[in-house]
Amino acid sequence: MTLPLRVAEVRHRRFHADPENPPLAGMVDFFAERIQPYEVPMAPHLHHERNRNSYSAMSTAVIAPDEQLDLVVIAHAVPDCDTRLSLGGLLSGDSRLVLAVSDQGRVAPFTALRIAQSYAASGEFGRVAVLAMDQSSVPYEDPELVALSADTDHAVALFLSSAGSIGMPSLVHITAVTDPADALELELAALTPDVVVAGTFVPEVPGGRRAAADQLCTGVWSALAAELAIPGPARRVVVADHEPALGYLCLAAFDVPGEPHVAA
Amino acid sequence: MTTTIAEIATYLPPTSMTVEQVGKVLGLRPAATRMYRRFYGLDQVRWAPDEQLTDLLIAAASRLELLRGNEHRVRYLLHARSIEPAAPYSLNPLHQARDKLGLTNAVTFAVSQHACASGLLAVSVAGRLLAADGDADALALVLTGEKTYPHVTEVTPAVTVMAEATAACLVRSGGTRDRLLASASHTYGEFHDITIRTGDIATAFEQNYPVALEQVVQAAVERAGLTLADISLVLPHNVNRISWVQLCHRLGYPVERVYLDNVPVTGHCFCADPFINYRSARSLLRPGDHYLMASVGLGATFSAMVFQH
Repeated sequence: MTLPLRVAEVRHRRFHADPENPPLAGMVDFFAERIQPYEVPMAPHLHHERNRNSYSAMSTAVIAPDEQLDLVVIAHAVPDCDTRLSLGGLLSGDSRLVLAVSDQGRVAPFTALRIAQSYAASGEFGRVAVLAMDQSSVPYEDPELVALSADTDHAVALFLSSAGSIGMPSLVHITAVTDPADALELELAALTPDVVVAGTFVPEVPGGRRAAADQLCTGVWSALAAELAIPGPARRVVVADHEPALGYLCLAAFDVPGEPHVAA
Repeated sequence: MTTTIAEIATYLPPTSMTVEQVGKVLGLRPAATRMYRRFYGLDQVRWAPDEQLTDLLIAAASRLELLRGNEHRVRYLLHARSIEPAAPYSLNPLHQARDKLGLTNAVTFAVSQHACASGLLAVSVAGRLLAADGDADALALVLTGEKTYPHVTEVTPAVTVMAEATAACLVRSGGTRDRLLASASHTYGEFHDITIRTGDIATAFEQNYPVALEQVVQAAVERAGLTLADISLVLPHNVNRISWVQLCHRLGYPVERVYLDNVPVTGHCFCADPFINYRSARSLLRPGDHYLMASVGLGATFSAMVFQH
């Protein structure tokens, strides 16, 4: 299988606290209403003390308004800390189709990539960005978010087109995974990678590059950006991430030509 | 392969509340409530005070006859969201629904950013994913509908009342039943601040609304190789009655062919309205009829899809 879109560029940006960024009016109350039925205690200090970088602000720092794109597929694990702005509207430009994938934890960007490839297969959407984002300004305690960096938020954009230099030979979603080590071994045997970029919960791979543990859905993609920036011979890089809470193991293969093509 | 709808099922929560009762809960002024009833044609809404999102999604999906025994064929499960955050991060109501429905093979995720037009977007996403996979036996399940809260009223234009009915739409790639012929969608980014309810931008949105909706309806119909006269039935969003009467006047389309019976019964159920209306109006469609689904989402996205029954 060869997917129609190839990677032309990967951009990774980090975002920190902005002293000019005030508390987001009404957003603590917004989340309070939504989590109240589930009896989860609020923690407004997490909103007030953290960066409050909205996905709107982060996305527009990574994707320029005049960037030539037909489709933007956003992927996020944590909800936006500011839902007062429509991210879809903000990024729509003249005629871009913008949509977002969520509720899939760490593997949402893999699904975003699959959606992007499926739209490109129709021939209508040739210039695509898949944008993964993590932010931590969520005003309640959640056991699955404790490892998320409190001071650095991340956005990683993969720009894709048929003319990109990095091919995508394979994109794999495995569901209901109970033994990730077995499943991973089988998939890696078929994909024959030179380098594996592995997420936090992916079983140990000899010689693999381990993604940062304090990112959720951006970890393996920022690690991919770093890997692609290293000069070297032609190689196959496989990005793998496992979402144990939801039972997903996902892999994406990239055939990188023998020179540095992408700036991190 | 052509995207087709294999089956649609709905869940209308048993609790009906009048707009006056809802107005008291939401803190609306009596004048606003009178406006809903007299001008916008609203009467009652369906709320589910004792049910959480997972319950509402399962209630719709479990009414799908074709799903029983075919759970293993469902490759994708999508929840179209008007408002993306739905629950605490780690509780994930959508995946709870996946597990309770036995859809263990389904890649499950939420789709958002077209607000209340995300339901039609999700059908498009589901169809394209299935087509790319090339497995004619595979299915995708699109769920629509959400819980409503007082803050939703704060950002929703004061022309509708939100409600909690849900719909489940089983999508295939290939097949002959309810074929998707064409779609059109356009997002007007100048309206991306959804909190603006007064001033120049709010006025511009009000003025642009009928024009933009007319354009996507016409575009979808033209892309289907049809004219409006060929459209037997329009399955609208249930925001209110008056906006559809006005749109029909602009289009020169008979309002009797817009299915508005649910507007005073269900209220506006986020992304679920066109699917709820399909289920209610199905007996009005004969084999071969063309019909159109339409939705508008804050932000602001206008979408239309043309199907052949």
